[in-house]
Amino acid sequence: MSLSALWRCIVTITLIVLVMSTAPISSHEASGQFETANNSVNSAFSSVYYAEQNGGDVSVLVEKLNGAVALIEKAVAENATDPSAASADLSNATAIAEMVSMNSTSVSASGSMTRQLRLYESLGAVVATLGMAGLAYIRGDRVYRRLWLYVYRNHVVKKSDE
Amino acid sequence: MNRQTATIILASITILVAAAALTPLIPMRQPKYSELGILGPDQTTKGYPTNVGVNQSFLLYGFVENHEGSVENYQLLVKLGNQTTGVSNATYANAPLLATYWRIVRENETWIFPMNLIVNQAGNDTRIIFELWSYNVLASNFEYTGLWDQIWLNVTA
Repeated sequence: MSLSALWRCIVTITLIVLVMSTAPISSHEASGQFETANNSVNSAFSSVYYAEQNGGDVSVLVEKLNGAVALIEKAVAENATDPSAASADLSNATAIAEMVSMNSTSVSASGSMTRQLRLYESLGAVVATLGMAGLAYIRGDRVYRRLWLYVYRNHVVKKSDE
Repeated sequence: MNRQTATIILASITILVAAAALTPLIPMRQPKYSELGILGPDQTTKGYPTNVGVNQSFLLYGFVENHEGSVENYQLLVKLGNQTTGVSNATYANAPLLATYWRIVRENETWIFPMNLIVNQAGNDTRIIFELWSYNVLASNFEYTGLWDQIWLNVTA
């Protein structure tokens, strides 16, 4: 075998090995990215769910998360024709989902605080009502009589047969 | 007004006011459910396709409503079945997947979305099966809700 033929052989083998090794990696990477994006969205959903259970307003978070879901669906559609665009969409979806997960912590905390405030307001109203009722029961008679006297302070009592 | 009557009136008013103040703290017990519907191309329950060609796209709309008392993570799976494909409220269809639609839906929110579907094999009495799945936060996976729907098609070559 001549030297040029040997070189040609080495180059061909190298190219074949390169093609064989890169093709499965890219497809494996894509499926890994899909899995990562799906898991991120589902994990973010769990955070949003618990934030809502704690009384947080999750409207904005849900909107953002649906944006991430739309990106994943877009990536599924374009994966066969434009894998790099699909990969970018999946990265964006993962980033959005991670941001939603982080933000849901503060939404959850503010929800808990609002709920606690509402509890204190209600309990305060009940205590105030009971206090007023107790006062009215104990001092009601006296207050009523004084009020009556104040209202009728100018009333002149006359004998009916005068 | 004697003292006894006044005490009864006072106690009644106190109970009413206290109950009104506590109402926001009492959780409402309402039935929890999801709704699934499939609408025709004009978003009504009419005009469903009955005959389509192989690889010919046809339009339907999905209708999902959330009354579960919390935000829900739904997936609508569209499967290609036939006369013998088994599906019920307890078991999902073991059939090839045609499409998946995914959305997070808030409480009392309605999700209506277009579905452009294509069937790639001919056959009479082809069933397009629609199943609603929702994400179980505790189990960390999607679970079949038991809600499903179907349309029958003649797919011609």
